[in-house]
Amino acid sequence: MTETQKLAIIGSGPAGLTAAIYAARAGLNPVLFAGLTYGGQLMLTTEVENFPGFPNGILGPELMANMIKQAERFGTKILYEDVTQFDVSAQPFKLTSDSGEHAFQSVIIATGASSLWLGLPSEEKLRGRGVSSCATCDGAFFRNKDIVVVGGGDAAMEEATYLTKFASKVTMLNRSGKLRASEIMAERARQNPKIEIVMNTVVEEFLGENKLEGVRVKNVQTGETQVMNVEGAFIAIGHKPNTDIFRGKIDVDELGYVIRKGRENEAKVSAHGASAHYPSATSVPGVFVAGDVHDHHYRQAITAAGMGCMAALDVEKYLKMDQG
Amino acid sequence: MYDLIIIGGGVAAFTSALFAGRRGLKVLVVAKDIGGQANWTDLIENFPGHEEIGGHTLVSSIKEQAERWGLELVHAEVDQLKAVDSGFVIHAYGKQYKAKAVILAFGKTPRDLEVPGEQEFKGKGVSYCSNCDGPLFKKKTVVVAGYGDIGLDTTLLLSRFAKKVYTLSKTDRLAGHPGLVKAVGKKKNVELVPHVQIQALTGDTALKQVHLLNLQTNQQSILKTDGLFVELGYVVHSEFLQGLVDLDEQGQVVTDKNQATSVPGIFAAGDATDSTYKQAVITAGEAATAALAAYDWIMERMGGKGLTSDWTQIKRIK
Repeated sequence: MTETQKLAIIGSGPAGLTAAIYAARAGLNPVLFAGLTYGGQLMLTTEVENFPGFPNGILGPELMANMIKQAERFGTKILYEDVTQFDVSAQPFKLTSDSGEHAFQSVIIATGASSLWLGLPSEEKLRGRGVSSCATCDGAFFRNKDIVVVGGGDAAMEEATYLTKFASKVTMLNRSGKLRASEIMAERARQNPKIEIVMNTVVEEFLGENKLEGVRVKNVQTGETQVMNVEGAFIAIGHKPNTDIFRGKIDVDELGYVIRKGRENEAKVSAHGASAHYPSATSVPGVFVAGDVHDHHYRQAITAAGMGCMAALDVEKYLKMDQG
Repeated sequence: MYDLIIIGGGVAAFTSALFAGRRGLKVLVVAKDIGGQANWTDLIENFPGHEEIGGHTLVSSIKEQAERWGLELVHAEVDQLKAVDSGFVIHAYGKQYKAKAVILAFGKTPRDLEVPGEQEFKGKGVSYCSNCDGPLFKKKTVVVAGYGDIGLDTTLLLSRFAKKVYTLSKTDRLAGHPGLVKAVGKKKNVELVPHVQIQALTGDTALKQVHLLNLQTNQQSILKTDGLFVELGYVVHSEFLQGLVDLDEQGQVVTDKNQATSVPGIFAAGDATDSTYKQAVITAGEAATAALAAYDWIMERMGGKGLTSDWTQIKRIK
């Protein structure tokens, strides 16, 4: 085991990298576990038009490359490894990755969120072969074809509407009798002649060997099943926080998102003076959180980056005040 | 009638305008000046995505970005904000503007020393933000004029970069949290200069000397330095909000995690609020949140359901 270092940052999206830029610049020599697939959700984008300071837009991967360069310039050590074990039961905290066990005085969790899947074996088999969770990534492959969109929330409505640019027909499958989407979004989808919304219907199986050839769907009220001949299926049922390795070790909400305890801990930390208030604190002192792994509502690159900065400033204060 | 009026002209105001514009809201920005606190920083090297960017350039580029989404701008100082049945009315330079929702993003002004030479050397050796400018004084000599925990925090931070840190005190010691005082005491490159007050600042193109008066002996002395960090706290000019939204004891607008104030429909972001940290990237994040929360609020009032993720408006690649 190596000697105890000051700070580990887990995750390499805008939250993790902004935390790294600030922590490194403050001389904390952070170690950033970027993961095997680094850069977060922005790596799946082309043009980002809403990151402040880029009036002409910037390519998502380019923005992330800039941040990586910035973080390294100030002395961040980046490991392109996944954290497989996480132990914050006692100081120093122990994190295990491919390169072994590492010890830290503090941790920032910035692992983000990923698209949710239905969890069917046939879905996994045909993922990337007609089954997708990203309409805007893969929509163009389904020009003049029939497809289904699974989900009934705003994101599903938006994806379905977008997909009508390419597909000849988009059937939306909603598992209950009521749409979760806002009225505005649902109405926009209903008025689109290429979209049909089917209620009370779930996917039982994705059919096909090497590529999707159809879906077997079931009406949950009548129990009737039927096969729909479609070549594309888009899963738009939401996102899931990447918190599997933290379960049982820090507090998460009912959806699995890491809870910030900052304001609730105010009374406790006031013993350290007025300046010791940690907005990004989790349930474990010394462990902080930033980005989509905490926030499931706003989920913007810049909001994540802001939280990353906050977490780094919290760590700086924590190491100074609580760890001598 | 606008959907949203944003008061302010810095990072917070234009970031809010950008996100509100992308949501299709009709936005008016009422700004006294353009730039806000970022104007006092020559070089920002910690705004993610920009390796180095001037403070004013950053604000101008966000403004330009927001303008692409239809922002309207009026140069005026707001002297009144009133809640009316259909929303809010703002008075500025004798004119009235109406909107369904308001974002307060007018920032904050660091308290000045109010000594001769201070205005001249702002951004040229005189800094009001150690987090922003500290690393620019690597291996240099700096002076800290601050009080309490902020002064100590600044001293500690600068001791990591600077060759020498002189910390001024009007008494014989540094006051503040004992842990911080102890930590400062351990730093070999920090020297306490007791019983002094700054009288004037001089230099050529940049600050070179701090002129001190010893309050016990009445003797004058000169301290040669590369930088002066003034940490006397900030002033919020929120007088026009008194009696309308909740302010804390420093006059800062009290906000919750959605950047909402005590008045439904009025949101706030950036340095005018009671947020813990004052950094451009945090401000921008809060400003995006304020804009999206304002959008949610307007949609709810109109019978809609509010936010869908902005991610879906981003073009993606295979």
